Amino acid sequence: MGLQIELALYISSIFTVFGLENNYIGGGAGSLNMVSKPCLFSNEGLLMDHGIIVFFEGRSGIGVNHGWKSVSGPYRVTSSDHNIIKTLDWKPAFDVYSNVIQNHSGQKITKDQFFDIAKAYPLGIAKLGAERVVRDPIKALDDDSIMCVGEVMEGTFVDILNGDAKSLIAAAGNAKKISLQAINDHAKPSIILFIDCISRVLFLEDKFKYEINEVWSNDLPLVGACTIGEIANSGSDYLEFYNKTSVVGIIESK
Amino acid sequence: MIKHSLQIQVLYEIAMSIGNETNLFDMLQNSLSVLLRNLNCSAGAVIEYEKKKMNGCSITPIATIPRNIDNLPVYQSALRKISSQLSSSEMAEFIKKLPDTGTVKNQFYYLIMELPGFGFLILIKANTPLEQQMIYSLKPIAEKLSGACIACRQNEKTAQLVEELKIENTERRKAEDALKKSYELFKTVLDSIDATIYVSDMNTYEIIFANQHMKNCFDHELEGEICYRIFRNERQPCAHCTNSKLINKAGNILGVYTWEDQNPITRKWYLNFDRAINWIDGRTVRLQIATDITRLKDLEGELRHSHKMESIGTLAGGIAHDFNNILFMISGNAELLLEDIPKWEPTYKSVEEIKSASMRAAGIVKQLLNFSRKTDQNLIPVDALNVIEDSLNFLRSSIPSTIEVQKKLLISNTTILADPVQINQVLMNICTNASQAMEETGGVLRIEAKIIKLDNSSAEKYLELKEDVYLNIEIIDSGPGIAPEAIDKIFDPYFTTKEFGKGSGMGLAVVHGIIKNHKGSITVNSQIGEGTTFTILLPLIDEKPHIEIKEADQQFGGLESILFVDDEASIVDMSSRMLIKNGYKVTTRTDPVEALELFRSIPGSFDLVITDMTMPQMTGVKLSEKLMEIRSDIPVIICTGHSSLIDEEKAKNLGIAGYIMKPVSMSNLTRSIRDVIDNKFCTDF
Repeated sequence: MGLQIELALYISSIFTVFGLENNYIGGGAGSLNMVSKPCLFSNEGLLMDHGIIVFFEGRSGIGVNHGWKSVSGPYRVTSSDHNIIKTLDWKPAFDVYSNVIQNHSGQKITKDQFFDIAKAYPLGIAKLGAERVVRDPIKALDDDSIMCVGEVMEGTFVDILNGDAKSLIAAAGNAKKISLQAINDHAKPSIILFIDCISRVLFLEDKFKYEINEVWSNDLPLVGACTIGEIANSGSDYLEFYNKTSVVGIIESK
Repeated sequence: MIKHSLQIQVLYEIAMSIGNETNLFDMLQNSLSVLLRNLNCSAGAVIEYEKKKMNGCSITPIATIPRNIDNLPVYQSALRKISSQLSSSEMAEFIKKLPDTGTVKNQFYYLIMELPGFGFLILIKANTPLEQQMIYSLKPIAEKLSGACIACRQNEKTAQLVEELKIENTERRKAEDALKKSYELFKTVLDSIDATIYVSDMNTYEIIFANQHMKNCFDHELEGEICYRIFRNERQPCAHCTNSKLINKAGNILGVYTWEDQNPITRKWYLNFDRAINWIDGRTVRLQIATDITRLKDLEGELRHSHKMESIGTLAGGIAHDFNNILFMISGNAELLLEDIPKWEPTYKSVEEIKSASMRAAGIVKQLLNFSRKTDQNLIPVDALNVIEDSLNFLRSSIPSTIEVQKKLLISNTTILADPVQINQVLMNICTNASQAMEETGGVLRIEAKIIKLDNSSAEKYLELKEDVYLNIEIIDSGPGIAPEAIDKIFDPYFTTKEFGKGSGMGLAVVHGIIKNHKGSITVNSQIGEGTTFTILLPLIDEKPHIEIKEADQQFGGLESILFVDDEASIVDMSSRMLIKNGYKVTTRTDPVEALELFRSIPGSFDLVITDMTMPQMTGVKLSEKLMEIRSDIPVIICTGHSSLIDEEKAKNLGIAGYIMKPVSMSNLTRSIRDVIDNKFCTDF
């Protein structure tokens, strides 16, 4: 899903149509080898290049948090094509990116094993009054551009982020807190829906269980999914497409 | 510092996102989306403001995110604040105080910013308001957004105009195509009409339009030419130009003006219909439609000629009888005198001249009758080549040596039904005229003869002729030519261009009559300085030519008894003496009634009756009928100066044994008598 070219348009259209009267929680489905294939189940059959919107009646609270911190930036995206960043500050994106990683960690990132290192160094798009919106670089292309999950518009400023298991796990717990704050005081939650990015799982590895524990509650059943990108509005904010982010929804069902 | 840096990044991104679309709605949706995302706002709207007449104003939400922003109480609150400014002055005051903020239940906060020259931007944020510093930092963003909105509106108007222009263009192209089709149709119709049609400017005389027929007539592309120059070779507007008759002094169009004219270039006659019309460019122009009436004019001329012929014929017919009688008396008495005067007598020659002159005079009367078709013709199959060669032989001796006679006779075994004497007369007349025209300068006279075939279309040129094979004789001279004004009258009787006394003007008139009587056609072609060509067409026949055996000039006597009846005493006396000289017994009467009574009393006493035709109380035919009632086997010879009541054929049909025209020589008279008595129908005239 995150490789959809018109993803931003799709997301903003949903918000334009359905507005602030709804809370949104969801994510992208796909394959870890990043090859598009039918993976959505519906009454119409197995679908690809589609979105499924499900409406719940009931109050809810949504919390979004990722835990990644800026280690370098800002860099202006001087050239991009949807989800492909071509140049940062007029320089080839991979060159800039690999230099930062080298300086920060001493690791030399190559195009062949790009994601092995890049999974720890996402990009963060500037946003006022909220966490940066993360973009997960997944592949370096032959022309030294970087492919991300989700669009990065030209003119945007991005930082290169880093984190560790601790910050990520804490972020999951923050997402739960935000969702609890956001739900109406009079609501009676009946379920926790946890949408967590698969790349966080790949990053945390066996520590992923701690992230789940942060979200777990003895009172409420926990369901969720590991997704390729997350869709949510945090509180009453603008609907956004996130990467490498934990989204927690506390839902009251009627 | 970091926060400031972040603000700059956000503002920069917002600024870069503005004005990337030309469509207003799309541009605002995109810009609002970036604003909301970057500023972490929940909703936003752009409101357009328009001043109305009478000091009012109106506001209209142009773009909102989300679409159902109306459901947000905070938005309603912000909008009410704007819409409560009813007058332009109130609104101006309100705008001065912007940016403005507010809240609803401290959960949602609104910001109203002016978009200068366009309207307002409303941003809604949940939980916390935008910081004041950020708000002021948004002012240049708002100005840029406003500029983009105005540009998009202009673009929309331009796009609308372009669309309207496209539609108008399409309509215009359709109309132009329709007009072009209509013009093509109109042109096709006009070009297919066998009439000359043209349109010219009434002030400049420039030809604006001419149909194909007109262009063909003048063998020229006519548009752009000046009408009086190209149509009439004039240097200035024609004196008879009808432009002034087509519109009145106020410039209003009058009706059609009709007139006839012979064009000086094509030489054709036209019936012209002129009128002023309004042209497609608003000018009042002259339209002329003209039909070729040259043939009508020719027919008119033919009719006039025919009437002239008829009147002359009537005159000729009237005098022919008396003239012939008188000439008979002169020639007859001269013949009798010649019998009595010895040849060595000086007076013998004088008397011979008298006889010759009277016979020539008789020839002229015959010409006159010929010319008016009042005479009988002696058409026989003749070899055309012989006739022409005979004429040429005689011609050589009668024209000056300064004139070279050439011939090109591409005919052989070509037979025509003709009177060889008259054909000779025709050729002599024309060649004599040509010779006289070249008298002073010399030149060439050329006679050509060939066979031509006329089909239906080529025969149309000749009123009298039809599709057939013809003998074509051309007589071409290198003389001075005939003036255009004379050429149409050349065959008119008494028309002559020669000095007084040099010609009667009857020659070509007679020629014309002869050719017509031969079922042929004669035309003339001449240009001043380029000579003249006469073209004669005579129909060919399949018969073999008649070979004439000329008999010697002798008298035939006899002993028979003849009753001679003529109301003219002198003729009776002279004829009686002629016949008595040849041995006949002659009884004469000047009164046909007396003659009838005499015959009735002694019918067996006469072997032959010779009677005049035109007599008082009883015509010769009537007398003949009565005589034959008395005695059916009595041969009767009608001997007449001229009568419209009888000719050779009628006489034969009535059982009359002979028909003789006066004046008649003694030889022919006695031969005719002999032939009749010996039972042959005879004619002599």
